[in-house]
Amino acid sequence: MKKNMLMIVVVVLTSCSFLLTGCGNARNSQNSSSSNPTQINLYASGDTNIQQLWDTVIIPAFEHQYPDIKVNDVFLTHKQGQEAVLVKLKAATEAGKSSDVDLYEGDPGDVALGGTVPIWLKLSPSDISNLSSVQKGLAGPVSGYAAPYRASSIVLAYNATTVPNPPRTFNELIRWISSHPGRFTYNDPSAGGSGRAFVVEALYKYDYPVPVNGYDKNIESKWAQGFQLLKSLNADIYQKGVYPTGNQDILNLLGNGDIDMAPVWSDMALSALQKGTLPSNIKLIQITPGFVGGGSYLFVPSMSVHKAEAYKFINFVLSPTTQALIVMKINGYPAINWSQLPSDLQSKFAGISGEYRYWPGQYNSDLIKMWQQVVPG
Amino acid sequence: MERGKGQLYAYLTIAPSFAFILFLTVIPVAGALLATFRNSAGKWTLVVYSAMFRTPGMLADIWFTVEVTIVSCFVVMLISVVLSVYLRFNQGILVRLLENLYYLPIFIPSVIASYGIRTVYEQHGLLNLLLVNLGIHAYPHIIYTGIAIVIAQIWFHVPFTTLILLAALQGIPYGMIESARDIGASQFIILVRIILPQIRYVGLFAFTLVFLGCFGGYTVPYILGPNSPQMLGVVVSQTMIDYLDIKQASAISVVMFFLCSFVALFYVRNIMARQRS
Repeated sequence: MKKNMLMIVVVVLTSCSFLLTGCGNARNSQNSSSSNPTQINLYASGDTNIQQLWDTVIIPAFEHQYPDIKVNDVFLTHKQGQEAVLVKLKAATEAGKSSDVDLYEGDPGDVALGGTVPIWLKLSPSDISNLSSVQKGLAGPVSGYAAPYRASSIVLAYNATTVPNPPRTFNELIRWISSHPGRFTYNDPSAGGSGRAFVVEALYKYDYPVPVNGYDKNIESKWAQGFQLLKSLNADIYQKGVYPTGNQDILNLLGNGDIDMAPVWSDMALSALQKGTLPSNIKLIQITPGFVGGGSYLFVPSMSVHKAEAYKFINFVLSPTTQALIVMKINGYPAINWSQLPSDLQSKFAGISGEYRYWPGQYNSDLIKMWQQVVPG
Repeated sequence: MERGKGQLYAYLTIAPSFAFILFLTVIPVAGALLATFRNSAGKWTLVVYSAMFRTPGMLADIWFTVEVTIVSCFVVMLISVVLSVYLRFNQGILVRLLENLYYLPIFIPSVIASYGIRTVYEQHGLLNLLLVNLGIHAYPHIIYTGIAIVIAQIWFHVPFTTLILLAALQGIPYGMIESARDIGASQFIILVRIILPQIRYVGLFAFTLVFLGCFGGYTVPYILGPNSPQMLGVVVSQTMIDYLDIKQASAISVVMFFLCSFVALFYVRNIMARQRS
């Protein structure tokens, strides 16, 4: 309950700060004459590593190349307050009024917002030339209403000292878990995406298609087999069925040798390896069919008054140079094809850059609930 | 006239705290409580509760919460009574050291302490490393079980419980104990017949606080407890935030309140008995 209260307080405070930033921006745009640089507002969101990526890497590089445009990053840490921005955008679109949001960072779930009136602009390579080099799999879920700019996926981490031949497919992985009791675990799916990806993999094993858009509760009745498979693994999981509460907890268990294998976030694990918090005998591979992955997307609201500048910004972010910077800074995947990146980066990611799958987020809460009721204990 | 003014002044003084309780506690709680007895059409029904009790694992979660809480209460009370009596009736360097150390956990935030407990007791933790170096290889699983929660409750509740018990023990005159000793009472008899009855009500108060703190806890069972069964604090939070089922989360809270009210009732009855005597 304490956590909830805290969340409410944070949301209220952040919303208040939007109100203030909103006022500030309005005044700025009125005062700005043609000699001053045009200011565009980017509503980015994510963890602090993403904030640093925008504020210390991408935006300075962009402003250096385009001195006549200034980018103001309104950062929503952990997406707190995102709801308020979307409500504001929706209201502006319905009323036909301009909005101070020129760029918005979100995920495919945001496309459908706004109902009959599309609140986002459809982007095309004729406006943003680098859009043509974006990976097809990433572009798919947003059908042109946003541009992916980075991605990451879940990969399999294993201890190369104790596991010389890691499993390459999901079925091999299941067999490995059963023959090495206590040496594998994944986190509670409510507490992080890496554990959720393993659950999704089990559901996909029985080949039930999950629609990318919309929400149909009936398809969930077909998940029973997958959950039964996970339940049957219980006795072979770390400490006979312990599912730690967090992505980081899994990395800790791998690091101190309590387990030999686990699904992990590609970017988290690579950063941990770089910092040395994960020892170098931990290796990463992608299995086939791949674990879940996905991108982060840039949207342009249809009521933005700085469309041309926003397009320039997206084009800059999707250039091979900026994409390489993103890959190096946060160990994420590029949104453009790997072949356009420097060869040393390509070889660094060679083991894990394989295909990953998309999982529609609107099924998450049902997945978490069913897992909790069926699998542990 | 004078009296009316005084009354007005009195009402004005309590108005802020009254408004605080009314708007931040009474109204939201009443709203949530009423919502759990209605269906989406606004009709009175017990559907939310029957769905809640039919949720797989719910009864196990309730039982687990009660079990862990009761064990924690007794362990915490035992340690606190022994510690406070020891500190009150002994002298020396060890006593002075303990006197200055025992309340330190009060100042350490619960998240940090929970992770600290994990670092010490986990499979590759300090305790196991120590045992392995001593040649003992039979380390049990502690973290992610109910035992870890009990250990954490000891850490969080012993300091404050000891503090108030110690304050109550200061009220027992030395003379009383000495005269008992003069007529031949043993240490044990002095403890059971003289010391413990004197701190009974404070002890009861402490027991109630430990019970309520442990029963509704979230951080400790979330970080240190098992995936299933879970303690109800974690279940409420998960039902609300992860399953987005606010009505059921409220219903579980009502059940928690109902179970806690037994302890509160027990406490109030004892206090009333004390006032009568």
